[in-house]
Amino acid sequence: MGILAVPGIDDKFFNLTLFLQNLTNALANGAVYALMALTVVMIYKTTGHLNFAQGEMAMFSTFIVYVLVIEQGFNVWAAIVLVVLGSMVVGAGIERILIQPLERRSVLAPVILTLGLFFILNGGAATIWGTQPHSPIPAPFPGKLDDKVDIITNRVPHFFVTYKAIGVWITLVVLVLLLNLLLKRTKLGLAYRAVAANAESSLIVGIPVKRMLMLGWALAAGIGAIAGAVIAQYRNVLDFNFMAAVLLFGFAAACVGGFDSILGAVVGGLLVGVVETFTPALFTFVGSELSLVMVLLVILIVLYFRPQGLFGSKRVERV
Amino acid sequence: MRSLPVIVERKSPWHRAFQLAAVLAVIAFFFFVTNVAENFSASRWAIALTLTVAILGLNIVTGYSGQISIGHSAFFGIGAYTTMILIADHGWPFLATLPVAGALGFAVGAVIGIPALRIRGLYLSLITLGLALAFPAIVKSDNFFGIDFASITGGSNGKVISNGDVTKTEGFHWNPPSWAPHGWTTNDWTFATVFVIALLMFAMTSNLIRSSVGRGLIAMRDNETGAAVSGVYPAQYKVLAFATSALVTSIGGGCFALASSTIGPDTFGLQRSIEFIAGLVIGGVATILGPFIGGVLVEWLPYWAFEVNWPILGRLEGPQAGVLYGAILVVIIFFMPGGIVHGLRQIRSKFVVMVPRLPAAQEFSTAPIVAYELDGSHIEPDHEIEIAQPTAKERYQ
Repeated sequence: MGILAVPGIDDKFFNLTLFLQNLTNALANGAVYALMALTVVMIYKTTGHLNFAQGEMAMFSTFIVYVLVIEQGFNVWAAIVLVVLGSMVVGAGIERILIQPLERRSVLAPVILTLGLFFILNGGAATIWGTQPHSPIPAPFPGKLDDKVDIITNRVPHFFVTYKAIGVWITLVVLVLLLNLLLKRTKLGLAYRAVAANAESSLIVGIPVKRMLMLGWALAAGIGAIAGAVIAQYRNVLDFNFMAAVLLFGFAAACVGGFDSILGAVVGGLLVGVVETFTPALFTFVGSELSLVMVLLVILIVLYFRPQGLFGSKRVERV
Repeated sequence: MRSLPVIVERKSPWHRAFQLAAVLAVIAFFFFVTNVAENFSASRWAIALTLTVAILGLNIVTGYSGQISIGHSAFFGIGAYTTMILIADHGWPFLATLPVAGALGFAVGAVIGIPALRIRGLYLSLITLGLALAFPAIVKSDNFFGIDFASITGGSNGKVISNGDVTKTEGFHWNPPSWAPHGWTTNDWTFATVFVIALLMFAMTSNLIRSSVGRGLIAMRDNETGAAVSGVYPAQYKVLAFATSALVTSIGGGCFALASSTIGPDTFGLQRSIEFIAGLVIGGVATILGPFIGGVLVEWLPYWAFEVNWPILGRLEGPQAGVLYGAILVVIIFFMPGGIVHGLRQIRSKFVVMVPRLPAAQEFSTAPIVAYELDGSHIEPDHEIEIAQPTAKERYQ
């Protein structure tokens, strides 16, 4: 048994189109993780917390998109815009009502609270919409069988890119550009960055720090709502558990890239996607169900050499 | 003068009386389960006790060292699988498997704990989150770096505690010995075994926390740099804390294998880890009694949620119990941030305050105070000067 299993129909030969197909899948999956990593980063930058309910919030938003589109007949994008706005309000509200009072207690309290939210949202969705997968899934992008760009057709298998995958990439790029515009070109963004850099000094110069923390949660909830809808279509699954695994890889992506870096979230997401797809494909000693373990190893390696992540900034602590 | 709260010095007769009452409560609990409660519930109580031990282990890391571990389900699983495999496939006696389970948990905990030296708080929680998700995958895997784990662990089918063939009626049974009280069932005997082991683990952890190691951990939790400056060597303590915590949890896992007699990979997933955290928070973080209350609630709460007809809610179903669970967590963290134990302590402090015993108050000379005039002549005091010894209560008010 060899160590390398070249991805292909025939293990002896390298198959270019299959490799490219794997790579696009990896990058599309990676973009999905990057979307979730973005939500993680938006909250971590200002509050320093991880929101374990992030995935469930996105799942809940996606279900509301589902209700609006499939049951009420809304246009998909109109529904997404509505739900994003609603999610932002709810996200800010959760921060204000549930997280802020716990802020001073301990590190543990907000974590436990988000774990509690996880249960409430997860169980709530299962109670309202049942535990069965739902279909049809609202489709933000054309998602029929032949909605794809054929690139190489004279080999077996064909190499093509689906519109769904392109949609994930476009969503990611647009969101990152918008976030950059918001953070780098507006006064609101300046205030947000100031709070991320030093909350106490920001307070002294008159920045409403608490509102900026709420903004972080609002942005995360909004991005999560978009991500949820896009991911549901891309993965073709909508049930009460569909975001749990995605969020874990999103955490991994944020961890690899650095918890306070938007660029890091994107690079980390793509890296995690590539590792997840390629390690079982490349090495025979890794079973395909172990991609999660591989991602865990990548986190460990990155943390060992760069504890702040690839693009994260070091936190200096005063005693 | 207020009569409440009553102030009780530690090690005074009254304090001893309180301690005696606590011991009696433990004994009463034991007799309640073995004699009064229904037979099926003895095995549930045994499982609840194994969970309390697991949460006790988590408490060492999360409560006393202030690091959040979401991966203790994996250590619980390591212990359970070690015990199960040694009993079922190698015919070991149950008690002999526990040291092995503990040692294995300790070793894996140390390996995980070493990278934890570099990572703090959130990062550790992420690594351990990954561990919780990876454990079932590794157990099910038939090709983990070339190792076929599934053939050892039974893969996704799990394992049943019996020697060899599952269908045979002979094989492993944890029967009460001849000296056990008459009428004890296997369940009662299992409970008694787990009870004694749990008692040992609680005593051990309680002593550990009160030792210099425990104080070092607490100091590091409160201010790591400050503790390091004061001579607590962080690297050593962190690895030790994580490994010891894994050891305690694995022993809980080993008992779980005995108590539940069937285990599968998904018994030890993320859900279990979150149960541990929930139990710890509900019971009381950084207390010795907290894990006990938490473990019992974690085991019985879903049962009560399903079986009891709630006043408004009616009978709950699976996902709704999840909502209830989450809601309890949120409510506890909001209104009783220290968990049930701290809540009880606050209520108790309205009535009784325990204070440490101080060194005996300074002995004052009983000789009369003598004063002299400037010319050296003696002045007789016109009355006895009495120096009041402060009572214990006054010292604390």
